Amino acid sequence: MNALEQETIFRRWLEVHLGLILKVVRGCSAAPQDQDDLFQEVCLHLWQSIPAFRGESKETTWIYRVAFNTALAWRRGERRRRVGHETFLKTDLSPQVQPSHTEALPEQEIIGQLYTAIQQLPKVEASLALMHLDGLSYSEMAEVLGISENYIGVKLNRIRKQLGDQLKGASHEL
Amino acid sequence: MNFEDLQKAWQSQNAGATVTINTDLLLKEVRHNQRSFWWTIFWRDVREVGVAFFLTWFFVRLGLRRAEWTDFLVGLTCFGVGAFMVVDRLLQRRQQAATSNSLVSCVETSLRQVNHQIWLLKNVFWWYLLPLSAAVSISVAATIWRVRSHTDQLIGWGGYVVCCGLLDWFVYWLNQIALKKGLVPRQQELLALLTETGIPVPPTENKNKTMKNTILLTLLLLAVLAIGIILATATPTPPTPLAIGALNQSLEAIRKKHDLPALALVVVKDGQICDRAAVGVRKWGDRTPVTTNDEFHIGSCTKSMTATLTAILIEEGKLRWDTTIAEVFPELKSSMDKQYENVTVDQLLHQRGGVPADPPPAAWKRAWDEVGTPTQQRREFIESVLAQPPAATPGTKMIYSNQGYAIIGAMLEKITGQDYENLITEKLFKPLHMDTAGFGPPGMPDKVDQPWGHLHKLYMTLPFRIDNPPAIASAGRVHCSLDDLARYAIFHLQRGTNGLLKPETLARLHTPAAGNVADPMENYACGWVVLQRDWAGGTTLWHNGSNTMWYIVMWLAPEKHFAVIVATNIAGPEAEQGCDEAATAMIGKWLPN
Repeated sequence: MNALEQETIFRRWLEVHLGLILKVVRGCSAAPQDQDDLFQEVCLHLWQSIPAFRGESKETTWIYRVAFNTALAWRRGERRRRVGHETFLKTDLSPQVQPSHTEALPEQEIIGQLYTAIQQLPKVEASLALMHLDGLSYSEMAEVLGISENYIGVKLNRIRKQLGDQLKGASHEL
Repeated sequence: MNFEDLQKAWQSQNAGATVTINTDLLLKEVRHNQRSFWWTIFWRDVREVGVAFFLTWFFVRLGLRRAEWTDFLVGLTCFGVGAFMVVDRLLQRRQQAATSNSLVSCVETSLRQVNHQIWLLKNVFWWYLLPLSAAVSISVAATIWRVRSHTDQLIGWGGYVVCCGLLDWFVYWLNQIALKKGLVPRQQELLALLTETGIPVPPTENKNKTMKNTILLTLLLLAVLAIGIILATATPTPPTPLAIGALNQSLEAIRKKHDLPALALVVVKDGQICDRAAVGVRKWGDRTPVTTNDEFHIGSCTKSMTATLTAILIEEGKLRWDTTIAEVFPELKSSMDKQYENVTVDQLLHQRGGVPADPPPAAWKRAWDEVGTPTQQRREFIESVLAQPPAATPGTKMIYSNQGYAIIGAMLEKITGQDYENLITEKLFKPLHMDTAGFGPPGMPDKVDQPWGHLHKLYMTLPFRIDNPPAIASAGRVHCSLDDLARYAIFHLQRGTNGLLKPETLARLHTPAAGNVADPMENYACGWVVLQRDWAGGTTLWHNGSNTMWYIVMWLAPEKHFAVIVATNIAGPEAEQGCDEAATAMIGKWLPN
């Protein structure tokens, strides 16, 4: 694979899967500076992973794996030296819910609280929660994490309960 | 809101919609990060492995230069440690965790790596500190064993044990800090992650296996250490000569008493060599014994040879006893101190030309650089000497000076158009059949085919192959065998015709300028100190020589047709006393009363 092909794939991934990457970044780090650093780290590992990508697994599964593995290895305050001093992400990654109906504002608040709750979960559970909310199937989640679907089922029950406890007042019957 | 609604709301959020990303900048950073990541790893490897291989190169080179097997051992150990690091890196690189693998597989690989790093740091003593310390200890043992006094040996051992212990402890401590603050928390983190995934946690290490390996490794290293120490400490004892004659025995007793690497002598009586002996080793730390054919550096005993060469050229009519410096070097008149202009060959040979004992520092430093041919070096050197004022009015005082004889050498070169080395070889060494005579340290570099010179440094005796710079070759750079030196002594002892010099010329070489006065140094003839000794039946010709790594003394007693020459391959008070004792013993043996 030459550098041009690698760059083309990288640009396309960023365009198509930016939302996914940002959700993982936000789910795994709270402060804007940390989010910016983690985002850079995930991008570096995505770039490095491109030559090994053979299309045998779905792009989303691949990107989830790279993003989660990077987030798990990454520690708060860990910064790479940058050529420039600009931040990559111009917003604080506040979730934007499409204003399709009048309840837009409360939903936005709920999602903000949801991110806070996910950030407090243990790391594996946070990954599961993010993928579950994104609607991934048990088999896809199993592929990303390398654990059995049964175990995922057990875990998800517990995660729903825990999120429910933390989102009291905003959500019910999780 | 139930979960499905929440999921719908979650999925409808467009996290990337309002985020602006400068992809070009990001791409630039990512590429930069990849490069800097690669360089960081590369330089870490170069630093750690490079240091090991640099030390290997250093100690092997040192070993080749000093012919010390202990240097090779240290070099080999450094190489072993470096090779261990390289193999370890290569094996570990093959097990790198790819972030595109599943999370569990990624965590498991990372855990294996962290466990391996922990193992390395926990065992840093066994694979790094112990082998290096053991090799260095053997080398130090070999060196300390050669130290003269037991007190110094104890001080040496004490200093070494404290320094080595502190250094080892410091390195071990640094590693344990890295282990405690970096690796163990990371290991716990990864273990927690694995537990979270419900995967059974693998045992971190097989303690029994590690323990067994550690014990085996320790025993092996201790065995090497023991063998090494036995070999190292056994090395310095010089071999006993196969045929132990009475002379060798008494000479060996003197050599041992003064702790000299080698001691050799030759005695001449009535125009024949009547005694010769050599005991000890050519090189400290090497078993090769000296032989009676071995060559020794003769230092300032070169001076009488230069004087003899000058006399031969005078008889050939190439110059006169009263030829002046200005006559030979008219082109230097403008730069030369006026007082030197009328200094004669005769004054220079008798050390009465006013030439200072010490060379001008800049010229001496330049002489050690050895730039240009030996003739050019001498010319440049004497120009600097002559440009300075003399240390005394010429002709008034004897000042022992290598510089004076360097000037003589340069004058002979200018007059004959030949370099000093060829001139003296052709005019003196060949006619006297001094076939081993040469210049600089004897023998081939990096070989023990001839004796080595030695220096005492930091309580240690170290072999060296260094000599005076060629600029003062005519004052002290000759080496030759003691048999050849005996031939030279026989030539000076002859009073009749000898084919090389007229008797009156030879007599002039043996006559001090000031006559025999109370100060023995005022009795300086041409390269000989003339002394009165009862055992010699009157006059003796004496000179010693040393380039600080060798010592030789020559006593010639013309009335008794006797000469004794004693040499050793180290300098200093012990060397001087040892040689004097041997010479006294020979005088006692051959000239009783």
